[in-house]
Amino acid sequence: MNIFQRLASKKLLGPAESGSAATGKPVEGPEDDVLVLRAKAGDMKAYDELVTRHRGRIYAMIRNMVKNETDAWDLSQEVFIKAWQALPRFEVKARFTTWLYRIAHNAVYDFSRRRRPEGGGDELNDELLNRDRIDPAAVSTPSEARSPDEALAGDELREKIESALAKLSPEHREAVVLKDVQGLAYKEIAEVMDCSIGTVMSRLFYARQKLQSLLKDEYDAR
Amino acid sequence: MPDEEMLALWVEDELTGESATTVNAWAASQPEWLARREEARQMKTLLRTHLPVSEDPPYADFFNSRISREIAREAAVAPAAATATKGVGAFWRFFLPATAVAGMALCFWAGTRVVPASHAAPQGPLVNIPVSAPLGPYLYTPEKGVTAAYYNSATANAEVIVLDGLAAISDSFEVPETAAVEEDPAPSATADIETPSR
Amino acid sequence: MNRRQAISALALLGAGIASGQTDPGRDVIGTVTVVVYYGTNGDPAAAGPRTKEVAEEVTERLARDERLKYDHYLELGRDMIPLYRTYENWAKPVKPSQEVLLRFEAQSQISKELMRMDVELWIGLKKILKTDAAMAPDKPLLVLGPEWRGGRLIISVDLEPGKPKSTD
Repeated sequence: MNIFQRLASKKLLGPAESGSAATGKPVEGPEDDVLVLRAKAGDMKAYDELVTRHRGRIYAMIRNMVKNETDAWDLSQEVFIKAWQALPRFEVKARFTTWLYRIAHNAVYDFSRRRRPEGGGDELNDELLNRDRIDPAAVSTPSEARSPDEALAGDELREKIESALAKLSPEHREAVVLKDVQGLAYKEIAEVMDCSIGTVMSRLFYARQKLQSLLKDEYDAR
Repeated sequence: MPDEEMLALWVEDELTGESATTVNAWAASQPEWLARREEARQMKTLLRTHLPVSEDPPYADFFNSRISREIAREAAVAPAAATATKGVGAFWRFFLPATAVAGMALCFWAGTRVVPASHAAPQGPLVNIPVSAPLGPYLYTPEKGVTAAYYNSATANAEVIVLDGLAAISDSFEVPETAAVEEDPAPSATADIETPSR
Repeated sequence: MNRRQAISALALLGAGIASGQTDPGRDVIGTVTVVVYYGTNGDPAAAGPRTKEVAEEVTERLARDERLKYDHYLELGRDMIPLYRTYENWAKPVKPSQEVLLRFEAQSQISKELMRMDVELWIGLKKILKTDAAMAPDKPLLVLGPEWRGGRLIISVDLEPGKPKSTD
């Protein structure tokens, strides 16, 4: 039994489910196109519906990229505000979700760039922004949104996975989050991260190898 | 041997039809690639089992309403800023109805109560802001039970934010010895900045 | 200086300029001063021996506002921090303690005198408040904060725009 079989509490699935990940075709329904068109014409109600529809994915992605939950909340806000501002330039034939992920990618990148330029600030930021150090009773946690199976022993494993993800570089982390969590197709990831498919491939390979090694260490340390 | 891109798609189970059949046949004798595909599948399973694809942000309703408010606020500020900086073009902006601006100011102010109603502290006089008040800042208090209220204090010539519902700082907190020392505000000339490549 | 020397000098000068080019995001566009005051209607000695007296003009300013009015004011600490063009920065007014921290970054220039700044107040390593204050010279942002030893903290944030004057 390999490390994944030991760590996963559920029976292994076969090939990835069909959908955008398998076929590369967009899965958003026709309603998204209609809403986008109306939002482009200035319909705030339509845009609000788009926000409701996509906020979960964007928040989940950003939360896996930045350490602090309130920062993830703020950045998610920023994504939708920027998306509204950029709507006039969005071509409806493109995939709205991918476009949102691209804005999220830029928001996370800009957020990382805005650190204090002096080296002395990093300890301060790391201490503050390390999710594990923040009083979980104080920060508005999304724990009420977790599915029942996560409420089981999976919580501890989730923490280990998040901790391992945090040890990857941002580029490697993003590649594995977009592919293995968000389920984006290769070409979509290349578009979001503004790089070639070859680069996505090598980042994914490295990230998975590294994660496997990190999780093995944590598992063996029990 | 299939090209790199085709192999990448095959590893991720994104290859279909004839291409998939061709690569499957080739990979049957490539244990390394079969192992790689299996690892990819297992990693996907592990991560998707324990990390959500979608997770509603906390205070989801407020999440949406704040976005709407910020969009409306920026739309209102943009013409005002243009008036301040542009010359002849600014003349036409005076036709923006003053009532619309005042109405938006009232809405923005109402929107600055960032805590959901169920957690709101008792309303005080600070909340009753006249319609003609200038656009206030947004206020966000992530801690449950904490509310923030803003006003422009003419008497103190300051902008004031009053926080209520905050836990008191422990009496055991002592002012450190060096707390009152001023620092040189100039940044270090030799500081390095990490510039991640895109 | 002959032609070759001139070209070499120009090349060196160019190299010097190139290596000296810094990230424009690091340009200092202002100075933020954060002061933590303690206001109390009780015994000011409760704040302990390491506090400083508050200037009379500050006392008068605070006392003019009903919500900020106390019988006694003391200064617990202050920090002066550069405001960068695109980078965030942190103020630690009661350093080395991290009990009160502020994170801020420049957002936009609303007008010649008015700059919008994102400000976050952290108390006890928790983010308590995030706001986007429109900062004007000599018009501080005052945050009436948590209670402590019978009084309340008032956190003052002031922005002086422009590069800091040379102290030479």
